[in-house]
Amino acid sequence: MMDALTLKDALFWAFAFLTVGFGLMVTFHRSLVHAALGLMGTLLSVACIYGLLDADFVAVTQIIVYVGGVLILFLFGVFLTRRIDDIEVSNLSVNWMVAVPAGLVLLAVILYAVISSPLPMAPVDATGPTVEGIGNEFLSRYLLPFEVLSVILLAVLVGALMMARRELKPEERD
Amino acid sequence: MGADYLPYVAIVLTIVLSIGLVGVILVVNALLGPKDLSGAKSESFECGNPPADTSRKRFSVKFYVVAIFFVVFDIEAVFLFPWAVMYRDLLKSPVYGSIALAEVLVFTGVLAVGLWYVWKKGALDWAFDGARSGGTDD
Amino acid sequence: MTGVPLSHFLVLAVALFTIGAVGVVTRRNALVALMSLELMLNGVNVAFLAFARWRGDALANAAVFIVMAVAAAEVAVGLALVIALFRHNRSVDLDEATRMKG
Repeated sequence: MMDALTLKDALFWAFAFLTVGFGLMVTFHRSLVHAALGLMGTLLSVACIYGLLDADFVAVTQIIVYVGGVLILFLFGVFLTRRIDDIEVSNLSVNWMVAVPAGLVLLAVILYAVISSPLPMAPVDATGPTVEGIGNEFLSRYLLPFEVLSVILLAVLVGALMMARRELKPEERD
Repeated sequence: MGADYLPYVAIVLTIVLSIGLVGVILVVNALLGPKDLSGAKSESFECGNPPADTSRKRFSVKFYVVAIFFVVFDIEAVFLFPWAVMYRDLLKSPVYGSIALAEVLVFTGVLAVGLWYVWKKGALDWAFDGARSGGTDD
Repeated sequence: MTGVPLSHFLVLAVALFTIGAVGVVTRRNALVALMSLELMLNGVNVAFLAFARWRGDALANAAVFIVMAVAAAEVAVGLALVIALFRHNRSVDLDEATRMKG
Protein backbone atom coordinates (compact mmCIF):
# COMPACT_ATOMS: atom_id res chain seq x y z
CA MET A 1 0.00 0.00 0.00
CA MET A 2 2.84 2.40 0.70
CA ASP A 3 4.16 1.74 -2.76
CA ALA A 4 0.80 2.57 -4.30
CA LEU A 5 0.60 5.80 -2.32
CA THR A 6 4.00 6.96 -3.40
CA LEU A 7 3.10 6.02 -6.98
CA LYS A 8 0.11 8.32 -6.80
CA ASP A 9 2.20 11.07 -5.23
CA ALA A 10 4.80 10.73 -7.94
CA LEU A 11 2.11 10.86 -10.63
CA PHE A 12 0.65 14.02 -9.10
CA TRP A 13 4.00 15.78 -8.96
CA ALA A 14 4.93 14.71 -12.48
CA PHE A 15 1.66 15.91 -13.98
CA ALA A 16 1.66 19.09 -11.88
CA PHE A 17 5.11 20.05 -13.15
CA LEU A 18 4.14 19.14 -16.70
CA THR A 19 1.00 21.26 -16.42
CA VAL A 20 2.83 24.31 -15.10
CA GLY A 21 5.75 23.90 -17.49
CA PHE A 22 3.57 23.62 -20.58
CA GLY A 23 1.44 26.49 -19.26
CA LEU A 24 4.53 28.68 -19.04
CA MET A 25 5.35 27.62 -22.60
CA VAL A 26 1.93 28.85 -23.76
CA THR A 27 2.38 32.18 -22.05
CA PHE A 28 6.03 32.94 -22.72
CA HIS A 29 7.15 31.13 -25.88
CA ARG A 30 7.55 33.47 -28.81
CA SER A 31 6.43 31.07 -31.52
CA LEU A 32 2.71 30.63 -32.02
CA VAL A 33 3.01 26.98 -33.00
CA HIS A 34 5.00 26.25 -29.86
CA ALA A 35 2.37 28.01 -27.79
CA ALA A 36 -0.30 25.78 -29.36
CA LEU A 37 1.79 22.67 -28.65
CA GLY A 38 2.28 23.88 -25.09
CA LEU A 39 -1.48 24.20 -24.81
CA MET A 40 -1.82 20.59 -25.93
CA GLY A 41 0.66 19.51 -23.26
CA THR A 42 -1.21 21.46 -20.60
CA LEU A 43 -4.57 20.04 -21.61
CA LEU A 44 -3.26 16.47 -21.61
CA SER A 45 -1.57 16.89 -18.22
CA VAL A 46 -4.71 18.45 -16.77
CA ALA A 47 -6.65 15.46 -18.10
CA CYS A 48 -4.27 13.23 -16.14
CA ILE A 49 -4.81 15.39 -13.02
CA TYR A 50 -8.55 14.85 -13.51
CA GLY A 51 -7.83 11.15 -13.63
CA LEU A 52 -5.97 11.40 -10.33
CA LEU A 53 -9.04 13.16 -8.90
CA ASP A 54 -11.16 10.13 -9.89
CA ALA A 55 -13.14 12.26 -12.35
CA ASP A 56 -12.84 9.62 -15.05
CA PHE A 57 -15.51 10.82 -17.43
CA VAL A 58 -14.43 14.45 -17.23
CA ALA A 59 -10.87 13.38 -18.00
CA VAL A 60 -12.00 11.55 -21.13
CA THR A 61 -14.15 14.52 -22.11
CA GLN A 62 -11.17 16.82 -21.66
CA ILE A 63 -9.27 14.75 -24.20
CA ILE A 64 -12.19 14.43 -26.62
CA VAL A 65 -13.38 18.03 -26.54
CA TYR A 66 -10.24 20.00 -25.74
CA VAL A 67 -7.42 18.03 -27.30
CA GLY A 68 -9.51 16.64 -30.15
CA GLY A 69 -11.55 19.74 -30.89
CA VAL A 70 -10.44 23.02 -29.37
CA LEU A 71 -6.78 22.42 -30.08
CA ILE A 72 -7.55 21.70 -33.73
CA LEU A 73 -9.40 25.00 -33.87
CA PHE A 74 -6.36 26.75 -32.41
CA LEU A 75 -4.02 25.16 -34.92
CA PHE A 76 -6.32 26.20 -37.76
CA GLY A 77 -6.38 29.67 -36.25
CA VAL A 78 -2.58 29.75 -36.22
CA PHE A 79 -2.28 28.56 -39.79
CA LEU A 80 -5.05 30.83 -41.03
CA THR A 81 -3.70 34.03 -39.58
CA ARG A 82 0.03 33.95 -39.92
CA ARG A 83 1.87 36.05 -42.40
CA ILE A 84 4.49 33.95 -43.98
CA ASP A 85 7.60 34.57 -41.94
CA ASP A 86 6.83 37.04 -39.21
CA ILE A 87 5.13 34.86 -36.64
CA GLU A 88 7.46 36.14 -34.01
CA VAL A 89 6.88 39.79 -34.74
CA SER A 90 3.14 39.44 -34.32
CA ASN A 91 3.72 37.51 -31.13
CA LEU A 92 5.65 40.09 -29.14
CA SER A 93 4.58 40.48 -25.57
CA VAL A 94 4.59 43.95 -24.12
CA ASN A 95 4.42 45.36 -20.59
CA TRP A 96 5.41 42.10 -18.95
CA MET A 97 7.53 44.12 -16.55
CA VAL A 98 4.27 45.16 -14.92
CA ALA A 99 2.21 42.06 -15.60
CA VAL A 100 4.53 39.44 -14.13
CA PRO A 101 4.84 41.15 -10.70
CA ALA A 102 1.08 41.76 -10.79
CA GLY A 103 0.56 38.06 -11.54
CA LEU A 104 2.83 37.13 -8.63
CA VAL A 105 0.78 39.37 -6.35
CA LEU A 106 -2.41 37.68 -7.60
CA LEU A 107 -0.82 34.30 -6.97
CA ALA A 108 0.20 35.33 -3.44
CA VAL A 109 -3.25 36.66 -2.59
CA ILE A 110 -5.11 33.54 -3.77
CA LEU A 111 -2.53 31.28 -2.14
CA TYR A 112 -2.98 33.16 1.12
CA ALA A 113 -6.74 32.64 0.81
CA VAL A 114 -6.19 28.91 0.17
CA ILE A 115 -3.80 28.50 3.09
CA SER A 116 -5.79 30.48 5.60
CA SER A 117 -9.15 28.85 4.89
CA PRO A 118 -10.17 25.62 6.61
CA LEU A 119 -9.92 22.78 4.13
CA PRO A 120 -11.35 19.30 4.61
CA MET A 121 -8.49 16.95 5.40
CA ALA A 122 -9.57 13.59 4.03
CA PRO A 123 -11.48 13.01 0.79
CA VAL A 124 -14.64 10.98 0.80
CA ASP A 125 -14.33 7.39 -0.35
CA ALA A 126 -14.19 6.91 -4.07
CA THR A 127 -17.66 6.28 -5.45
CA GLY A 128 -16.69 4.56 -8.67
CA PRO A 129 -17.59 5.82 -12.14
CA THR A 130 -18.92 9.37 -12.21
CA VAL A 131 -20.93 9.11 -15.44
CA GLU A 132 -24.21 8.29 -13.73
CA GLY A 133 -23.93 11.21 -11.33
CA ILE A 134 -23.32 13.60 -14.20
CA GLY A 135 -26.25 12.20 -16.17
CA ASN A 136 -28.45 12.49 -13.10
CA GLU A 137 -27.55 16.15 -12.64
CA PHE A 138 -28.21 16.96 -16.29
CA LEU A 139 -31.63 15.32 -16.19
CA SER A 140 -32.72 16.96 -12.95
CA ARG A 141 -30.99 19.92 -11.32
CA TYR A 142 -28.93 21.04 -14.31
CA LEU A 143 -31.66 20.54 -16.91
CA LEU A 144 -31.87 24.20 -17.87
CA PRO A 145 -28.11 24.65 -18.51
CA PHE A 146 -28.20 21.40 -20.47
CA GLU A 147 -30.92 22.67 -22.79
CA VAL A 148 -29.50 26.19 -23.01
CA LEU A 149 -26.22 24.66 -24.05
CA SER A 150 -27.83 23.26 -27.19
CA VAL A 151 -28.94 26.79 -28.05
CA ILE A 152 -25.37 28.03 -27.54
CA LEU A 153 -24.10 25.33 -29.89
CA LEU A 154 -26.76 26.33 -32.42
CA ALA A 155 -25.51 29.91 -32.16
CA VAL A 156 -21.96 28.69 -32.79
CA LEU A 157 -23.10 26.88 -35.95
CA VAL A 158 -24.91 29.92 -37.31
CA GLY A 159 -22.10 32.29 -36.32
CA ALA A 160 -19.43 30.14 -37.91
CA LEU A 161 -21.40 30.02 -41.13
CA MET A 162 -21.89 33.80 -41.18
CA MET A 163 -18.14 34.31 -40.70
CA ALA A 164 -17.24 31.87 -43.41
CA ARG A 165 -19.62 33.21 -45.99
CA ARG A 166 -18.40 36.74 -45.47
CA GLU A 167 -14.76 35.78 -45.36
CA LEU A 168 -14.64 33.57 -48.41
CA LYS A 169 -15.38 36.30 -50.89
CA PRO A 170 -12.25 38.44 -50.37
CA GLU A 171 -10.21 35.27 -50.52
CA GLU A 172 -11.43 34.44 -53.99
CA ARG A 173 -10.12 37.73 -55.26
CA ASP A 174 -6.48 37.12 -54.39
CA MET B 1 -7.29 0.27 -0.81
CA GLY B 2 -4.41 -0.90 -2.92
CA ALA B 3 -6.68 -2.48 -5.48
CA ASP B 4 -8.06 0.75 -6.96
CA TYR B 5 -4.62 1.74 -8.15
CA LEU B 6 -4.45 -1.21 -10.52
CA PRO B 7 -6.20 0.57 -13.43
CA TYR B 8 -3.75 3.46 -13.15
CA VAL B 9 -0.84 1.05 -13.14
CA ALA B 10 -2.21 -0.42 -16.37
CA ILE B 11 -2.52 3.05 -17.92
CA VAL B 12 0.99 4.02 -16.88
CA LEU B 13 2.31 0.73 -18.26
CA THR B 14 0.53 1.37 -21.55
CA ILE B 15 2.02 4.86 -21.79
CA VAL B 16 5.50 3.66 -20.92
CA LEU B 17 5.28 0.76 -23.36
CA SER B 18 4.01 2.88 -26.24
CA ILE B 19 6.60 5.61 -25.70
CA GLY B 20 9.27 2.94 -25.27
CA LEU B 21 8.25 1.17 -28.47
CA VAL B 22 8.44 4.39 -30.46
CA GLY B 23 11.79 5.18 -28.88
CA VAL B 24 13.17 1.74 -29.68
CA ILE B 25 12.01 2.00 -33.28
CA LEU B 26 13.59 5.43 -33.67
CA VAL B 27 16.87 4.36 -32.08
CA VAL B 28 17.11 1.15 -34.11
CA ASN B 29 16.28 3.09 -37.25
CA ALA B 30 18.96 5.67 -36.50
CA LEU B 31 21.52 2.93 -35.81
CA LEU B 32 20.78 0.52 -38.63
CA GLY B 33 19.15 2.58 -41.39
CA PRO B 34 21.30 3.77 -44.31
CA LYS B 35 21.75 7.53 -44.44
CA ASP B 36 21.82 9.15 -47.85
CA LEU B 37 20.42 12.68 -47.71
CA SER B 38 21.03 13.65 -51.30
CA GLY B 39 18.90 14.87 -54.15
CA ALA B 40 15.32 13.79 -54.24
CA LYS B 41 15.51 12.01 -50.91
CA SER B 42 15.70 15.22 -48.94
CA GLU B 43 12.57 16.66 -50.53
CA SER B 44 9.27 16.23 -48.74
CA PHE B 45 7.31 13.19 -49.83
CA GLU B 46 3.91 13.80 -51.41
CA CYS B 47 2.81 10.38 -52.64
CA GLY B 48 5.67 10.35 -55.11
CA ASN B 49 4.77 13.56 -56.90
CA PRO B 50 7.09 16.52 -56.81
CA PRO B 51 5.90 18.95 -54.09
CA ALA B 52 3.30 21.29 -55.52
CA ASP B 53 3.98 24.31 -53.34
CA THR B 54 5.47 25.48 -50.08
CA SER B 55 3.84 24.18 -46.92
CA ARG B 56 3.87 27.59 -45.27
CA LYS B 57 0.79 28.94 -47.00
CA ARG B 58 -2.39 29.94 -45.28
CA PHE B 59 -5.27 27.49 -45.40
CA SER B 60 -8.72 28.08 -46.76
CA VAL B 61 -11.39 29.16 -44.30
CA LYS B 62 -13.44 26.12 -45.35
CA PHE B 63 -11.24 23.89 -43.19
CA TYR B 64 -11.98 26.07 -40.20
CA VAL B 65 -15.74 25.90 -40.78
CA VAL B 66 -15.63 22.12 -40.96
CA ALA B 67 -13.56 22.07 -37.76
CA ILE B 68 -16.21 24.16 -36.01
CA PHE B 69 -18.94 21.76 -37.14
CA PHE B 70 -16.84 18.90 -35.80
CA VAL B 71 -16.39 20.56 -32.39
CA VAL B 72 -20.09 21.35 -32.08
CA PHE B 73 -21.26 17.83 -32.81
CA ASP B 74 -18.40 16.44 -30.74
CA ILE B 75 -19.78 18.27 -27.71
CA GLU B 76 -23.26 17.05 -28.52
CA ALA B 77 -22.06 13.45 -28.60
CA VAL B 78 -20.18 13.85 -25.31
CA PHE B 79 -23.30 15.22 -23.63
CA LEU B 80 -25.34 12.26 -24.83
CA PHE B 81 -23.11 9.78 -23.00
CA PRO B 82 -24.21 10.59 -19.40
CA TRP B 83 -27.82 10.64 -20.56
CA ALA B 84 -27.45 7.26 -22.24
CA VAL B 85 -25.97 5.73 -19.09
CA MET B 86 -28.87 7.01 -17.00
CA TYR B 87 -31.58 6.13 -19.51
CA ARG B 88 -31.56 2.38 -18.95
CA ASP B 89 -32.35 2.88 -15.26
CA LEU B 90 -34.92 5.56 -15.92
CA LEU B 91 -36.77 3.34 -18.39
CA LYS B 92 -37.93 1.17 -15.50
CA SER B 93 -40.43 3.85 -14.63
CA PRO B 94 -42.55 4.95 -17.62
CA VAL B 95 -42.93 8.52 -16.33
CA TYR B 96 -39.26 9.22 -15.74
CA GLY B 97 -38.33 7.37 -18.90
CA SER B 98 -40.50 9.50 -21.13
CA ILE B 99 -39.41 12.70 -19.36
CA ALA B 100 -35.76 11.82 -19.93
CA LEU B 101 -36.50 11.01 -23.58
CA ALA B 102 -38.29 14.34 -24.02
CA GLU B 103 -35.40 16.24 -22.44
CA VAL B 104 -32.83 14.74 -24.73
CA LEU B 105 -35.09 15.12 -27.75
CA VAL B 106 -35.26 18.86 -27.08
CA PHE B 107 -31.44 18.94 -26.84
CA THR B 108 -30.84 17.04 -30.06
CA GLY B 109 -33.78 18.77 -31.74
CA VAL B 110 -32.24 22.22 -31.32
CA LEU B 111 -28.98 20.91 -32.76
CA ALA B 112 -30.87 19.19 -35.57
CA VAL B 113 -32.24 22.61 -36.50
CA GLY B 114 -28.64 23.81 -36.66
CA LEU B 115 -27.66 20.89 -38.85
CA TRP B 116 -30.63 21.57 -41.12
CA TYR B 117 -29.58 25.23 -41.34
CA VAL B 118 -25.97 24.55 -42.34
CA TRP B 119 -27.15 21.86 -44.76
CA LYS B 120 -29.66 24.24 -46.33
CA LYS B 121 -26.99 26.91 -46.68
CA GLY B 122 -24.84 24.40 -48.52
CA ALA B 123 -22.00 24.53 -45.99
CA LEU B 124 -21.67 20.77 -46.03
CA ASP B 125 -20.76 20.79 -49.71
CA TRP B 126 -17.03 21.06 -49.90
CA ALA B 127 -16.93 23.65 -52.67
CA PHE B 128 -19.89 25.58 -51.35
CA ASP B 129 -18.87 29.15 -51.90
CA GLY B 130 -17.09 28.48 -55.11
CA ALA B 131 -20.29 27.24 -56.72
CA ARG B 132 -22.64 29.62 -55.02
CA SER B 133 -21.18 33.08 -54.77
CA GLY B 134 -18.28 32.76 -57.14
CA GLY B 135 -20.59 33.00 -60.15
CA THR B 136 -23.10 35.77 -60.42
CA ASP B 137 -23.95 37.41 -57.14
CA ASP B 138 -20.80 39.37 -56.39
CA MET C 1 -6.43 8.88 -2.51
CA THR C 2 -5.18 9.95 0.90
CA GLY C 3 -1.75 10.64 -0.54
CA VAL C 4 -1.97 14.13 -2.03
CA PRO C 5 -3.74 16.73 0.14
CA LEU C 6 -6.42 19.01 -1.25
CA SER C 7 -4.21 22.09 -0.88
CA HIS C 8 -1.74 20.69 -3.45
CA PHE C 9 -4.45 20.49 -6.08
CA LEU C 10 -5.62 23.99 -5.18
CA VAL C 11 -2.10 25.38 -5.49
CA LEU C 12 -1.81 23.76 -8.91
CA ALA C 13 -5.14 25.29 -9.91
CA VAL C 14 -4.05 28.74 -8.70
CA ALA C 15 -0.73 28.45 -10.53
CA LEU C 16 -2.48 27.54 -13.78
CA PHE C 17 -4.97 30.38 -13.33
CA THR C 18 -2.21 32.91 -12.68
CA ILE C 19 -0.14 31.82 -15.66
CA GLY C 20 -3.22 32.22 -17.82
CA ALA C 21 -4.02 35.63 -16.36
CA VAL C 22 -0.49 36.90 -16.99
CA GLY C 23 -0.73 35.55 -20.54
CA VAL C 24 -4.03 37.29 -21.22
CA VAL C 25 -2.62 40.59 -19.98
CA THR C 26 0.78 40.50 -21.63
CA ARG C 27 0.36 38.84 -24.99
CA ARG C 28 -0.83 41.15 -27.70
CA ASN C 29 -1.51 38.31 -30.09
CA ALA C 30 -5.22 37.52 -29.98
CA LEU C 31 -4.61 33.79 -30.47
CA VAL C 32 -2.28 33.50 -27.49
CA ALA C 33 -4.67 35.59 -25.40
CA LEU C 34 -7.39 33.03 -26.18
CA MET C 35 -5.04 30.15 -25.34
CA SER C 36 -4.20 31.78 -22.00
CA LEU C 37 -7.92 32.14 -21.36
CA GLU C 38 -8.18 28.38 -21.79
CA LEU C 39 -5.42 27.97 -19.20
CA MET C 40 -7.43 30.05 -16.72
CA LEU C 41 -10.55 27.98 -17.36
CA ASN C 42 -8.58 24.77 -16.86
CA GLY C 43 -7.23 26.06 -13.56
CA VAL C 44 -10.75 26.75 -12.36
CA ASN C 45 -11.85 23.30 -13.50
CA VAL C 46 -9.05 21.67 -11.52
CA ALA C 47 -10.18 23.53 -8.39
CA PHE C 48 -13.80 22.51 -9.07
CA LEU C 49 -12.93 18.84 -9.40
CA ALA C 50 -10.59 18.88 -6.39
CA PHE C 51 -13.37 20.22 -4.18
CA ALA C 52 -15.78 17.73 -5.75
CA ARG C 53 -13.43 14.88 -4.88
CA TRP C 54 -13.17 15.98 -1.27
CA ARG C 55 -16.91 16.52 -0.89
CA GLY C 56 -18.16 13.60 -3.00
CA ASP C 57 -20.46 15.71 -5.16
CA ALA C 58 -21.46 14.99 -8.75
CA LEU C 59 -22.71 18.54 -9.24
CA ALA C 60 -19.21 19.90 -9.74
CA ASN C 61 -18.50 17.31 -12.43
CA ALA C 62 -21.59 18.47 -14.31
CA ALA C 63 -20.50 22.09 -13.84
CA VAL C 64 -17.07 21.32 -15.26
CA PHE C 65 -18.79 19.68 -18.21
CA ILE C 66 -20.74 22.84 -18.93
CA VAL C 67 -17.63 24.99 -18.50
CA MET C 68 -15.83 22.84 -21.07
CA ALA C 69 -18.64 23.03 -23.59
CA VAL C 70 -19.04 26.78 -23.23
CA ALA C 71 -15.26 27.21 -23.48
CA ALA C 72 -15.23 25.23 -26.72
CA ALA C 73 -18.06 27.35 -28.11
CA GLU C 74 -16.24 30.50 -27.03
CA VAL C 75 -13.05 29.38 -28.76
CA ALA C 76 -14.91 28.51 -31.96
CA VAL C 77 -16.58 31.91 -32.24
CA GLY C 78 -13.60 33.81 -30.81
CA LEU C 79 -11.21 32.32 -33.34
CA ALA C 80 -13.67 33.03 -36.13
CA LEU C 81 -13.61 36.67 -35.00
CA VAL C 82 -9.80 36.64 -34.86
CA ILE C 83 -9.67 35.30 -38.40
CA ALA C 84 -12.12 37.97 -39.55
CA LEU C 85 -9.97 40.56 -37.79
CA PHE C 86 -6.90 39.24 -39.57
CA ARG C 87 -8.61 39.41 -42.94
CA HIS C 88 -9.60 42.97 -42.22
CA ASN C 89 -6.46 44.36 -40.56
CA ARG C 90 -3.78 41.93 -41.77
CA SER C 91 -2.84 41.61 -38.11
CA VAL C 92 -3.99 39.77 -35.00
CA ASP C 93 -2.47 42.33 -32.66
CA LEU C 94 -5.05 43.28 -30.08
CA ASP C 95 -3.67 46.79 -29.72
CA GLU C 96 -4.26 47.46 -33.38
CA ALA C 97 -7.89 46.35 -33.19
CA THR C 98 -9.10 49.73 -32.07
CA ARG C 99 -11.60 50.50 -34.81
CA MET C 100 -14.73 48.43 -34.97
CA LYS C 101 -16.26 50.13 -37.99
CA GLY C 102 -15.15 49.18 -41.46
